Amino acid sequence: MYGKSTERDELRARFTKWMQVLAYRTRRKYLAACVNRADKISLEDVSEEFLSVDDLPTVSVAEEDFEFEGEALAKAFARLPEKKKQVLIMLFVQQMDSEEAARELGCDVHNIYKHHSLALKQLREALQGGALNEQ
Amino acid sequence: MNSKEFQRLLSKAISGDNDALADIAVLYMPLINRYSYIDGKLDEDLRQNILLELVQSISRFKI
Repeated sequence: MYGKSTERDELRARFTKWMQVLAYRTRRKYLAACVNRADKISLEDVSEEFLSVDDLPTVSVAEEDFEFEGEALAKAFARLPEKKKQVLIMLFVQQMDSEEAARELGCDVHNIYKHHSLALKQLREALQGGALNEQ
Repeated sequence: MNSKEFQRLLSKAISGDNDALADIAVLYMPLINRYSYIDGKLDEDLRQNILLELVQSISRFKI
C-alpha cells in the first residue's frame, strides 16, 4: 500500500516537472518571437524615414544615401553607453536570446529588455536627428 | 486531491477527456501564471500559449 502511494506521489512530481519544462520552453519561444517582432517594427520605422523618395534631393543619389545611413548608424552606435552596446551585440550579432545575454552579463533578464529597448530608442532618435540635420 | 485521484484525473486527461484536462489546467494554473509574467505583468497571450501547448502535448506524457 505504501509503495503504491509513493509511486503516485512520484507521478505527480514528475508531471509537475513536465509542466514546468513545457511552460519554460513556451515562454522562451514566446519571448524570442516578441523580440523578433519588435526588431522588425523598429527597422521598418527607420526605413520609412530614410527611404522615402520625396525626402531625397535626387533619385540618383539614393545609393550614397544608404551609405550615409550606415555611417550615421555606426556613429550613433559608437555613442551608446558601453552596456547598451554590449547588449545589442549579444542580441543582434551573436544571436543570443535575452536570457542567455542576462546570464552572460550576470544581470536580470528585465535589465536586458530595458537596455535593448532604450538602446534602439536612442539609435532611432539619433538617426531621426541626423535626418533633420540633412534636410 | 489525493495522489490516487490525481492519477485517475491525469489518465483521463491524457486519453482525451476534456473535463479532466480542464481540471488539470485549473490545478496547475498557479504554475502557468508564474511563467506568464513579463515585466511584472501577466501576459494573457503567453498564458494562452502555455495552455495551448498543454492541450497539444499532454497525450505524449507517459504515466
